[in-house]
Amino acid sequence: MSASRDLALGGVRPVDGSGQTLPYALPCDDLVTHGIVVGGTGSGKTGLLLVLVEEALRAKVPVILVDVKGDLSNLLLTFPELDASAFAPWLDARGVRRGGQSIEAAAQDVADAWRQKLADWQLGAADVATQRASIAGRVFTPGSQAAEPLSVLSSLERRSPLWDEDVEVAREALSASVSLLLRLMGRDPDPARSRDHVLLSILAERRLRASESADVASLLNDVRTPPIEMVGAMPLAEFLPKRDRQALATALNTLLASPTFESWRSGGPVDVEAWFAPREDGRTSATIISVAHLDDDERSLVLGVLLEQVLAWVRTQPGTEELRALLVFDEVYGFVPPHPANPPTKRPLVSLMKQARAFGLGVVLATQNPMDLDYRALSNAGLWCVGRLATDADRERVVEALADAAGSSADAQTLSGVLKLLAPRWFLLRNVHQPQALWLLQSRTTLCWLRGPMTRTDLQRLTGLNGSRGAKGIHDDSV
Amino acid sequence: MILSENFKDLNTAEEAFRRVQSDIDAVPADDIAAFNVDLVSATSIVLGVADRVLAFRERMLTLPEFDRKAVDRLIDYALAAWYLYITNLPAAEPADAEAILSEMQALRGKFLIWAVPLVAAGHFEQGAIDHIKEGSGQKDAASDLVALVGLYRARWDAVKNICGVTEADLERAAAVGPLAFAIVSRRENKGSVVPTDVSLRIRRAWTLVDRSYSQCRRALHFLRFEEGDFDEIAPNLRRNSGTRSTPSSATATATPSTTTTSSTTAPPTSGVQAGAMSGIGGSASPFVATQAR
Repeated sequence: MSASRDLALGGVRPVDGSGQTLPYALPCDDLVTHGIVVGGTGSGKTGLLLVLVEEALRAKVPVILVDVKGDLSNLLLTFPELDASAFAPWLDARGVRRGGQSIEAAAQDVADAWRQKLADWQLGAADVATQRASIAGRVFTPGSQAAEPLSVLSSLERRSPLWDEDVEVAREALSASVSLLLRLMGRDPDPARSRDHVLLSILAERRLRASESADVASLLNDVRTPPIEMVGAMPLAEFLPKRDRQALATALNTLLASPTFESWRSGGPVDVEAWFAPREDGRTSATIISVAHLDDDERSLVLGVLLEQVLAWVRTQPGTEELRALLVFDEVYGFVPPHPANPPTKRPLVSLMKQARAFGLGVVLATQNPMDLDYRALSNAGLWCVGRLATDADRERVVEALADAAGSSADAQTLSGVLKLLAPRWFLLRNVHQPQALWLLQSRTTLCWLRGPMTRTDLQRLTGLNGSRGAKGIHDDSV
Repeated sequence: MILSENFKDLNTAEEAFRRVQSDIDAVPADDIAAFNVDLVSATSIVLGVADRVLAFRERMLTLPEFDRKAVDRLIDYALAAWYLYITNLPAAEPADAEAILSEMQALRGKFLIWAVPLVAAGHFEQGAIDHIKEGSGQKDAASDLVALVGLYRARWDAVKNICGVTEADLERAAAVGPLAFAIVSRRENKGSVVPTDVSLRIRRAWTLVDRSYSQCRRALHFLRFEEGDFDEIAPNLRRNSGTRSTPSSATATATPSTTTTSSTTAPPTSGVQAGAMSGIGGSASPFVATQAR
């Protein structure tokens, strides 16, 4: 495999599927105008995303992967030897035995099948080994010690230089952190209606602007003995009476004393700058933020904090037309919904889709439910990969957006007909940077093994934490 | 139905010619229309859309000064013109007859392959494709190709960017189909004689097609003014005449290749040698086996 900046995603055929599959390479920099991957269950979305990530990493583009379902962590399941013993520890032993097969035999079958799938794309053990050696992979599990913990409230504790450069961005990032904090306390996290949110934000900003830490303990003290008298045009005592402030302080203290809160505070900070920075060892960073273990609200808030930090990083970058970094978000359902829904992730995601291209950050979103994507996110994507969609409504939505975004001469009925019949791992491809209207794309086999969603135990094994160093062939990288 | 069933059968075409022979011969020399079209393609389009046009027959007949023959004999005129043209190509079998027949088969195969997803997408009707596939032998295959040209021409604007059949393929097929048909017909009827006034008769036949079809288009323009779709119901036969005047590389070749012309829409394979990696990805089909339509 070459080290070019073309991303060898797989093969293409004309839209009728006839003829031979010819190799397809996506120019890396085309991704600065972002991508959308859509397809129903089993269409091969995750596989395509991981191919995209593998190719970006090969092109030395660092990647942040937002893993909602738990299977993007498969990126680190690379077995250069492609032998059965490497696969065996990762098989579902109970399921294998139920099928009347030994683990060894099942592992051999899996290894043989994977070797063949790679061979179909003229790939082999050497390519897997090269890929593995070139990646510096990390998996973060916010609120959990399963993999590396991530201190998602770090923006409260560490003053961002944005407070001196771009107060609005710094304020948005702070707001996301305060929302998460309130959610962890079981209180209303909505910045638009929560008085708790307003007070904590003001107190935290005051501290951060003064180059002080706004950690939970400090905020607790400020709530108990407020250093301010007015909130907006109202006296603090009217805006949030003492009794309510006492309740807020108690909640903060409970959180502070809670052992589970420790997992939210421990670990490294959300340091997008470091995750996207070139590494001295020549490897390229792949940072996986796994939130599969969190509930829906927690995911939304944690990812809101993360995305605000990514947006803040973007604002610090000089302009470029080259792809500098990639953000990949699988299963984006519910995180960037149409109006009027407005979860914490929506604003930064839409902003990234609209603005990040000028700074070299490509965003790739994947979903099986195109009905749930905000129109602004859809219309800002230059690359479309659409797999099989089962319902008329989904097809209609995608075809409408495709026609709008692509100016394609293919009519809606044709596109809809193709989308109805696509086999797994085949996608209708549209790249606005390439004049040819449409192609069918078959994603190549991933170099990593697509095992499926990883549990917390799996992630512990994968990252070799908690004393059990990774099994044979597993990454154990750290930055 | 996009394709007229009568189109495949030379005998039916001959019967149509007999029915309107007197009309053809009665066209005054001064009234002969300009012969500035590819007759096979033009008649293919007329026959392809005839059913849609005839659906408006009763309303057309209510229009003042509308000539009933224009609609009632439209199919016969088109079949007759096609018949005259096909059966009166140069008498001697060309030296490259076998190459032409091979090319005809290859083009037919390509057109049929591409027809599958176009049927699925609603551009073509399955019945029309099934009907084309029914026959066997070289003569049927040649007829198939002519019919397929008509099928693609009738929906060309809608399908040209989503399939691998190119304008050059259509041009070549429009030439190769009749040639192949003539070769096979000639072999079957070795005693046939080309009449000396055939050229003029073909032009008279074309004049009737042109006049009838134009009158139907004018009527449809009036009847479908609000909907604005008369050009979709009965497309302009000369729409592509400008591009057709430039021969494709295939048609310019003295000895036609036995393979079809390559697509002008090559895949974007930047950075990778397509030839070196051809056949990648196994043999998986892009489509599921069951077609929902």
